[in-house]
Amino acid sequence: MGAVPAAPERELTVRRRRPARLGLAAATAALALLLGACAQRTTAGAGASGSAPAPATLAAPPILAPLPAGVPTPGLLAPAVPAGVPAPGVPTPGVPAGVPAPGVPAPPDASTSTASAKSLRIEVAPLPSQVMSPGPPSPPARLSIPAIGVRSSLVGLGLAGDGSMEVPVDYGRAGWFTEGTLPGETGPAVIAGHVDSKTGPAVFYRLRDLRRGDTIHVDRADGVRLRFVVEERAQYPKASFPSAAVYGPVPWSALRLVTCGGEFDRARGSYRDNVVVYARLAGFSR
Amino acid sequence: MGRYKLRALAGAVMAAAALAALPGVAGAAPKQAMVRIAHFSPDAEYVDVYVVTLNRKQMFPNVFYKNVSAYWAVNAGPFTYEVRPAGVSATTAPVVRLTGDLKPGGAYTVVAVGKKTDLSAVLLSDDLSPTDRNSTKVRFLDAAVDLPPLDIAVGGKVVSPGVSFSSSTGYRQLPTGLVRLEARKAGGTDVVIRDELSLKAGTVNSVALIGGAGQPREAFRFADATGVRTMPSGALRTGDGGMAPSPSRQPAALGLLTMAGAAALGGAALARWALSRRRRNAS
Repeated sequence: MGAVPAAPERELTVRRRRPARLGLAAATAALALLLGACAQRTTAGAGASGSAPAPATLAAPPILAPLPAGVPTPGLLAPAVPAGVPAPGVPTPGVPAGVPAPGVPAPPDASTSTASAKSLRIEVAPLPSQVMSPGPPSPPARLSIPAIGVRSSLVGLGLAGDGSMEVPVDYGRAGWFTEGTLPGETGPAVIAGHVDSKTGPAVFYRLRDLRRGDTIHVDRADGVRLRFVVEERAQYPKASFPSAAVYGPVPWSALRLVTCGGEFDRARGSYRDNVVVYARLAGFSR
Repeated sequence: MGRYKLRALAGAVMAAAALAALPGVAGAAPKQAMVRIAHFSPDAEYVDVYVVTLNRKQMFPNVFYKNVSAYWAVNAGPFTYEVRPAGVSATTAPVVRLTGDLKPGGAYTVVAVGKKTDLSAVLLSDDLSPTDRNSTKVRFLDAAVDLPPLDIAVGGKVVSPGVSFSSSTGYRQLPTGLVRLEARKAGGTDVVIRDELSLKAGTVNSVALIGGAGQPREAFRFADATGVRTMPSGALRTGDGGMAPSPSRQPAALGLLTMAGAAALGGAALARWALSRRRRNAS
């Protein structure tokens, strides 16, 4: 970082020598072009990591804004609003005199200086609900991801002998971690699938193509369809697998899809990286 | 001299190039924090809560006793929390005002405690990191009005002695299952709140001791976050390489370095060419 501001400074030093500066400009432009190519390559690598090993993004999944209004929220933690409670924006009887009428600009008030100093408009919203429950827990049965053509029934996966999460025996099917949380419940539901077999693509071959905003459906055994939305996709060297981000506590209903990626280590017979897709519950239907 | 300067420039540009090529350095997303609000004032029935952060100015009308919101994402940085009686204008002086600083990546709970006439706010930092194996994390918040400091006992054993009103204990790891919780007057055996908590492995919990001023005294548990019951170790083996490209390819990092190097060399050559041209012109 420290070297970045240094460049323009030195450019100023040579400003007097005009012809040389022209040459320099050309050199800088050439560099910029080449660097641009490099940067593009980096981005492309992140997108299609099966063929080009991508730089690992070690960032934790981003925190998203509260779920959009209109999402069904049965099981709301908040008690129902009793009758007679003043609605937002409705003038309330009993408001002390001197309070400006709606529409009249209020005089600046020292006590709310931080609030009123900026012109940020006040957004009025009900408390974001703690619980968005799609009903009593039910195990997941099927997974479908329209954006990448995935349709799979789900097998249960426990812990392997070495303490790692089991992976599906069947290359064409994904599986869910039974020691995790059920999809739709608060916490991380983890679904794993192979990227390929020895001979061809497997169920999560195109997982690396998922983008932020893509939809993932999990159909539960009770017929409820859960809709998750992709927040982030990242790739990690296996030695620095982000267990806390994948398996650790989350305050909402989350889903993580895991497969392999990066370069294939032929000596070990395994990929060097894991690809993780982080998603969050956005709704459900019957 | 001139040549030296040019070389220095090429070096600086190359250093900048190397930095720019590092993934994750450029174009970082705005730093965010998570915040939620909780209302434990027993007699301030419903209030309007205002939360002002760098990117938002949010009002939550009609927040009730025992309401705990979900977390929502805001930009990290300065933060203001204000409570007003429900329905009054946003320009009236708040009953309670708290300012704080939200750190990037942090999770926070702002709690209103105390009687209506003596309302105050507490900003708690929430630790949502994983629990130990087969255990749960719990912290206790004393929000029960009109009581002396409390000793908090789990399964008959005091785990947090002398917790005073409007303060919170840190998170502690507790065994899972059904546990007996008691809040006693500090240093004595006088139990003021008794409850049973069902604690699940992998969960992070807050327990607020609340009530008084007309409300029953109770232990109010609210979940902070939930993780897996058993944390697996390490990475997953989910590919056999059938679709992997042939191994002759250069690793990407090496490729990038090569490209950056070539770019720098090209730049230096161009600069040298320009310099020699200038000299020819001068002579």
